[in-house]
Amino acid sequence: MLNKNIKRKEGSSIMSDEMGAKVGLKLTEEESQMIFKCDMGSLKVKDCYVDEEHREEVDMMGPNPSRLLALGVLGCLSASFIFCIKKRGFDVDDFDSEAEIIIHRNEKGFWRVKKINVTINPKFTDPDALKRAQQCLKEDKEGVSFFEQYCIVTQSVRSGIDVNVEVNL
Amino acid sequence: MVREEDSTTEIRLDKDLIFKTNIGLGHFNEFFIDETLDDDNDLRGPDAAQMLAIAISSCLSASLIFCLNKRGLNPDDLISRARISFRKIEKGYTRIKKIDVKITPKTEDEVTLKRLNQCLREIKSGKLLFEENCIITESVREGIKVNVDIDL
Repeated sequence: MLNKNIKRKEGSSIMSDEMGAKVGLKLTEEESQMIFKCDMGSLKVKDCYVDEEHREEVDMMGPNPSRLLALGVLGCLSASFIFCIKKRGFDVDDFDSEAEIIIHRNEKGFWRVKKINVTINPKFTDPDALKRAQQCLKEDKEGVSFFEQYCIVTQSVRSGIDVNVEVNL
Repeated sequence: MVREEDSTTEIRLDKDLIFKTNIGLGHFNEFFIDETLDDDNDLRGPDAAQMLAIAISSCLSASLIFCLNKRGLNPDDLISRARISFRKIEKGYTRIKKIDVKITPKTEDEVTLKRLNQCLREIKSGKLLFEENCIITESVREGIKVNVDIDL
């Protein structure tokens, strides 16, 4: 996402795409539970395009880089969480997740990604699967949940961007 | 939860600031993230690391074109490749080591070429002039090493 797109939006009282975008994921019916469908709002996604031109969702041919970054983090954390559940032979009954990306100006006036807020919503009817989910959320000495350590992308970008994770069981 | 193999993503300028990726071409009409680690032919979408690589290469490509657009100029064509490599940390987990981005803009116009060279001039921070406009790359750079190679 470019600084020029931010500047074009300044003065708007509406929470613009560039100030705070939301992306979502929903688990597909594949048995592997490792394929997620992306909720890109009203974007015109057919082939895979990255669109830095348009500002309104209905005009966009694909996600902009900040949405891609959020989806990368979100997809990785979602797969890692399900992987942790499956390691003990359990499944989630349903699953969706959402990432909100927050940007701010740095001291030189350039826009940077400040943090990504991730919400993961798994559904369990089996109490043993729920117990396993709670184990997956246990934090290690670094204060990072057990399942989060599996997530290559999130842990790799975390030194540069705050990624907050919320799991609603 | 990504394939721990070095991989390369490629984007090509379609028009304006819209890029088409090489991932899953012809495979998906909707947008999927596929973490199954299956063979390329079976995948229904990119994995998380590829998403990150596309985000970074498209952001840098758009920033370079923006630098040209500021003088009313455009490239004739542009391809950008991002190579993502992994490393193991002490605890055995895999992390992204670095992302190498190679941007190849094409122009026949001398004025555009001259402006491209201006956009590649290093500023005081040690970064290329156009890079500062790229929100994503500068945001993740503290955590992931991102190398940029401009092939004129």
